[in-house]
Amino acid sequence: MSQALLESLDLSLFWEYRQVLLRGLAFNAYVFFSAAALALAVGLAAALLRVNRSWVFRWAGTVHVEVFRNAPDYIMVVWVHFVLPLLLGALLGRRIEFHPFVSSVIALGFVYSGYFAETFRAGIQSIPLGHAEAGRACGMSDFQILRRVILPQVVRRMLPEAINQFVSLFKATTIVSLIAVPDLMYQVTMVTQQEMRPLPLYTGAALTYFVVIYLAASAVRAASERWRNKITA
Amino acid sequence: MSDAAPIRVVELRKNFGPLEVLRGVTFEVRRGSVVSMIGASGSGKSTLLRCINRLETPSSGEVYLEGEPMGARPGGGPRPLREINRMRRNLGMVFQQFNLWPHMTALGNVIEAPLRVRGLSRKAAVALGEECLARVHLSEKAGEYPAKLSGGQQQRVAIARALAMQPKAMLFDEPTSSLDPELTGEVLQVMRELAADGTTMIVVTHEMAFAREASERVLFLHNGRIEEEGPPEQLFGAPKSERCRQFLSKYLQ
Repeated sequence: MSQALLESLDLSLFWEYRQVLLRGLAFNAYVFFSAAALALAVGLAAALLRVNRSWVFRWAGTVHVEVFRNAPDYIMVVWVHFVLPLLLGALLGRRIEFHPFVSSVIALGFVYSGYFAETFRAGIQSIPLGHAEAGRACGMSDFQILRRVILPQVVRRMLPEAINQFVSLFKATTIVSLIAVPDLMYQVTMVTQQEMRPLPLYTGAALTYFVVIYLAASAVRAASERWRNKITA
Repeated sequence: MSDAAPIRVVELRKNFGPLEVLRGVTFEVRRGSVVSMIGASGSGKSTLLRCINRLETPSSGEVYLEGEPMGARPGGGPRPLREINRMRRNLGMVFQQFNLWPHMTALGNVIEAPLRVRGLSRKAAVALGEECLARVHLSEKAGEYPAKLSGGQQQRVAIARALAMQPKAMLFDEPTSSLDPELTGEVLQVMRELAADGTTMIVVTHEMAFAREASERVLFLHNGRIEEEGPPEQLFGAPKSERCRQFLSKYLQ
């Protein structure tokens, strides 16, 4: 076996730096959870626009979905971090700067809101109209129907697809290192510059992401299975 | 209790675009009585029922609940959605497709509106829910999800759900039409019991036997109008209109 290959398999260097790397991974988690919360909230709002009776709202929802679904997340992160503050600054007439963490959450949150909007919309449209009518006939308000009748079913139906999107989102958090959010990837790059041994470090990072994502996604899938299947007998 | 009829429908019309589905329907339901509506599909029966509790907004005409107009405020002007929601709870609705909420148990379905709309405590709502499930003979299924219930059981839970709002009248929209024939009996039985208990009911149905024996009056709808109405003995025994005779001959032969 070649020297390089052996070197890439020896992860002791990665282990030596485990504490700093773990801190990096924690940053991935912060970005992930914040961006996911934003993506779900904005995605739901956009989905509700897309199923609205008025075409103006539907059109606004469609524009939102198309813009953010078709924007590369890397460019969005850079744009939000470097361009958006300039635009806002010019508009408000003062200097504005975003913390890299904030830029990352906004950019990834909005990009993924485009995907979640479509998942929510498909889920909402898959619920028979009669379920909402039954609520209306009982005197429930539109908001009560949404919260108590529609969304609990939508969440169960969209969960498998949503898990895939959460996985993509977690993977996308690695690009925030580009604007100096100290995530795992960022830390790996820093350590690499000191140690000059990229193979074990990048390999270790790749394996870490794989293990974390694989375990988390499997656990969520397994935990939600029973709960989801109650409604389908 | 008010003296006015629980439901009075006056000159109700409904257009869907150029299509006139209801062309001026007027009738009244006495307290504690059952009115059955029969007629061919497309005659406007379901639309009429849905206009009564305003799942459809009538194009003109009015529905009065115990004398109070559904669509207009006492002082004039249209009633806002919030108030319509509040009035709507006085009418229990049972749908052809049951429309149970699949993520809630039978009891969960029944207590949802009492909890959220009427604001009952959980304890009171559960007690009421159990009582309503008992009335449809499904006490032992309280904890089951709809997917585990037969069609007839699901429809009985849906009836319990409507009863739990303690409505002034119950509206049934072809409650047995999507059931296998062997399951219609249990639903009709529950409806007969409700009628015997003095529940005010409007029933859109193709079950002529039920209409004949359980209702005080029968309306035959044709083309968005009441073509003929009367007590069941008269309407089934000696229908006056030719269309009604033709319609009934298809069912009663």
